Amino acid sequence: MNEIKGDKAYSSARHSKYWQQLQTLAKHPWSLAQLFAQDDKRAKHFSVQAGALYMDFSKQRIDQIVLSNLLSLADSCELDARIDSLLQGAMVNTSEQRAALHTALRLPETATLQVDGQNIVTDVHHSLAQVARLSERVRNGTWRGFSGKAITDVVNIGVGGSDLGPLMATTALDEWADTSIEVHFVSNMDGTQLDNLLKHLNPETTLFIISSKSFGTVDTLSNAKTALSWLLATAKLRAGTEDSVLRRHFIGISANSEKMSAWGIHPEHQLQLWEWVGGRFSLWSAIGLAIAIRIGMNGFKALLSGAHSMDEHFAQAEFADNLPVLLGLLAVWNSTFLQVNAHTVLPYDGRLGYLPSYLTQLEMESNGKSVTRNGNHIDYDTCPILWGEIGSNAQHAFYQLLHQGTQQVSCDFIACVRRYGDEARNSSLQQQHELSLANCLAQSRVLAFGNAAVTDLVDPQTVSEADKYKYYRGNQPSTTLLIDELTPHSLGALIALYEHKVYVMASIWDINPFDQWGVEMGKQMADSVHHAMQHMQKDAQGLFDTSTDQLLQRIKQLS
Amino acid sequence: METALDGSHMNKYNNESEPNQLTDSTVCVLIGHSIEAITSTVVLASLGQRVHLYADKMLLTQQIQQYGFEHHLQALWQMYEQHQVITSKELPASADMLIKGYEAASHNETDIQSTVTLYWLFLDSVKLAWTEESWITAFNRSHQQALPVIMSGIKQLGHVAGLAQRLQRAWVYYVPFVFLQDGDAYSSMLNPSLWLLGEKTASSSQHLNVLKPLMQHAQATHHADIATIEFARSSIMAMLATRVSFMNEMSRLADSQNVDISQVSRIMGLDERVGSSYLKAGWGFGGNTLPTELAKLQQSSRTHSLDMPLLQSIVHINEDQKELIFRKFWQYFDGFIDNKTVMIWGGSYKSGSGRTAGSAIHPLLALLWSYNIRTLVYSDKAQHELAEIYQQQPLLELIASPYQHLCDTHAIFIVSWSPRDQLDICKINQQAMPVFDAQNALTRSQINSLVGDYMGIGRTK
Repeated sequence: MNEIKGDKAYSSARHSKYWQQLQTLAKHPWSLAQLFAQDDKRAKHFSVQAGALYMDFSKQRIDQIVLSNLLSLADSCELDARIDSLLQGAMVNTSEQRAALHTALRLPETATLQVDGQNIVTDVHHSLAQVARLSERVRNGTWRGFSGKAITDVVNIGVGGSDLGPLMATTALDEWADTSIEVHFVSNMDGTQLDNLLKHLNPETTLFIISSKSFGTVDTLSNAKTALSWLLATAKLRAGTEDSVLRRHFIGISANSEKMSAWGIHPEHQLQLWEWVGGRFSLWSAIGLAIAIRIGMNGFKALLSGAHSMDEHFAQAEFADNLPVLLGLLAVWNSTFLQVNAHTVLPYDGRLGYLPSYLTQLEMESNGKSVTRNGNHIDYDTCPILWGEIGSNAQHAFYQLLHQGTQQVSCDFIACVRRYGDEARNSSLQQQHELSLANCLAQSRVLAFGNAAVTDLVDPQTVSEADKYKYYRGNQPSTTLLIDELTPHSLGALIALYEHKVYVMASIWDINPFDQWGVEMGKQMADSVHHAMQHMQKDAQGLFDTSTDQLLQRIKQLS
Repeated sequence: METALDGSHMNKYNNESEPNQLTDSTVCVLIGHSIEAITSTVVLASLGQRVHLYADKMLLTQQIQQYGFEHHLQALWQMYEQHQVITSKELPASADMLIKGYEAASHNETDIQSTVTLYWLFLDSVKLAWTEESWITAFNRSHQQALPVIMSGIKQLGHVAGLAQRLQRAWVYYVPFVFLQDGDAYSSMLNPSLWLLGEKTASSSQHLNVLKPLMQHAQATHHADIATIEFARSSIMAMLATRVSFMNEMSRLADSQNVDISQVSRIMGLDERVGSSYLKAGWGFGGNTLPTELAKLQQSSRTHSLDMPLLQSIVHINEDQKELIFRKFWQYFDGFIDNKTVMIWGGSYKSGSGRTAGSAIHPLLALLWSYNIRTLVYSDKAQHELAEIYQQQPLLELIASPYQHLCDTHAIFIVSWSPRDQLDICKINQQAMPVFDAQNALTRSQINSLVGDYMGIGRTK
């Protein structure tokens, strides 16, 4: 039994001797070509496996000494205790004085975790039962719109964590969809997505999920308001009442029941979030309702179970064999010590198309910080700029920069080994899959070794001055993650791997990855500007800075 | 046929038709357990033939029980079985065994009672026991190639013609049961509204003298090659389904125009170009025949990569139509339907039948139960089948009288009500509850005399 506790003051990695040693080691002119030349078993020495995930990090600029120092650095900041704090519900979110218990969302029903004297696993599974009940009613046609017709389309309105997680997972797992009900996602504030959707959807058969932890997110509520107006316009023609429309067409997911009720969400259709779940870590909660509708509750539970298996691995595996720990330490090594301040995620699998966007939020919103948990200014680089794209598409977009640009960029290559295997009719698709895998391996090789990767074709020593533009310098660090097969379970493990990677990085940097104060001021300022826009008379002078005033003036003139 | 039970008509047919000197020495061998096989067995018996029906005995018994509402057929079956005119036998493991048994008997002069007149295969039943390859090979090995083989059943277009080609004998026929009416199976076969015969060899129907009385008493007959008859069979059924779905689609417009679709149907029927059959709006079509035909046609269209949007629409409208009455109920109570109690009258796919396959009652019950609605069901003919299917359902109560517990219910649904049974409007009016008439069973005057509300398909109070 664990009582909720304030997170302890941990030792700082910054002041350990390993930090200094790593700084010194970082000055070494690391050459991947040389590292491979020096150790013919390098790939074996620098690869680990956990469940369906196999990680080859031999193309990172490390040797055993660096790895050893990184592992010691982890020890120096009491990473094991920090992991324990995270998993046991301590107040790891120090600035907001709360736990970050996304891992509790995937605990099995038989587990117990006491927070504030309450076993939250009971609450979690109560909520999951609600998700199961509602999703099943939608899926089996019992849930009816105002006119009595079954639901054919579900629109998830949310932004950030209320959008990217479910969007990424439903896209990745669409092969597991066993319903004709389509799930759509709407996030952007300007209404473009919603406008495009509403042209094609039938108000009688469309259900909206309004996901917002605070239920005050203006992006989400403005879309929800438009959706309600759209429904009412049709319902009123068919004697449907507003009460009926609200009751039959909206599900709310939030930590704020009062605001959901005030908006008109029927109490039976409110799903609870908890303050201790961060938005970007919330797809495991009721926020995953859209996933459950699309792939069924069993599929959703398999996703949770995959994540839980990674949680157990994170908690139990030795750091030297611990995927999230290693992935996090390598990211710290690249960003903080090697000053590789750009990182790209390259899934060679179309199903993982939204994974880079998801990880963009997960990593940059979590670790885009410049003060420690104690509020001290940081004098080292933290989270790199992260972006990504489906690998084969990225080859025709930004790989030029990776291969021949001036920036150092670290890469995560992600590929699934088995696909299309069980159906003979998919033989040509299987060939495409093989081609994609071949490209994945080839690109990581060229990035690592440059021209040396193809010495049998091009001798780097003989590249003439005139042909310098053909030169690939190589030495870009990368990690390759192979997933045996993409399933709800393995996807759950993959996402949890990155969640824990983020926590490892934050622990080394001693920052709080669970708050996001950097996004608050923009919201406040938007309120002021919007107010000004609505009430502005002729002249916008003196309201804000001259640039903003001038832009407002122009908008006023043209609108 | 008025005098079926005493068997008098069979002599009449025997005298009229002069079949191949039918005596005790001949026997028609039928294979299958479907209602078509059972009806054919009884009809052949009533035409003076001895019939051996080979079937999976358990399935045959089940089928006879399920068709308990076919009183006429049942009575004749029992009578002919008692008199050993009909003998039902367990289907042997292979067609070879069956055929060789009769061939051996025909060579044995002491056993003259087993000379076969014809073989009649009901393909849907046969496929459960024998592979096509095996029974075709068995028939092709037979020494009695002059014996006619009849096939019946709903298969993908051209399939039966293909089977006929694989059979090496010349006298192969296809009889589609387009005339068969559930609830009146015996009479509808004895006096078929339309007799279609597919022939492998043109103008060879004289080899089917046994069936001559049926051809003679048909309102219309047509003989053609088997592929054409198969196509005609499917087209007839698809057309009937189209008419039903068309009227159901029109009924939705009628709802919004405050027009009674039943009246429109009657007016349409006055136009000879249209005719009056299958124009009644309701919850759609069910049973086995029409849905199977449409499924086979869609299968054929897929096989030939043809887009048949009309067929798709017919099926879609029909499926949607089955829950339309639920939506009317939903709208009436603005979705606040949880925990109510409703009465449902009728459950079969059409009045007169006791079968519920494809009936609107199934989706209706499932939807009602999902809202924890207690359902009192009165269905004199389908009671047995519903009890069997839903024996574990606590929200289902099968009742013995339509007006029993009426005071406890919030609404009445009509799924299939026989026009022969008079509705007691006074009893309905005692509770003034809404009536949701999925069958458009009520007459206009009955609707007008209702105290409570009425929601039909394309008609209101």
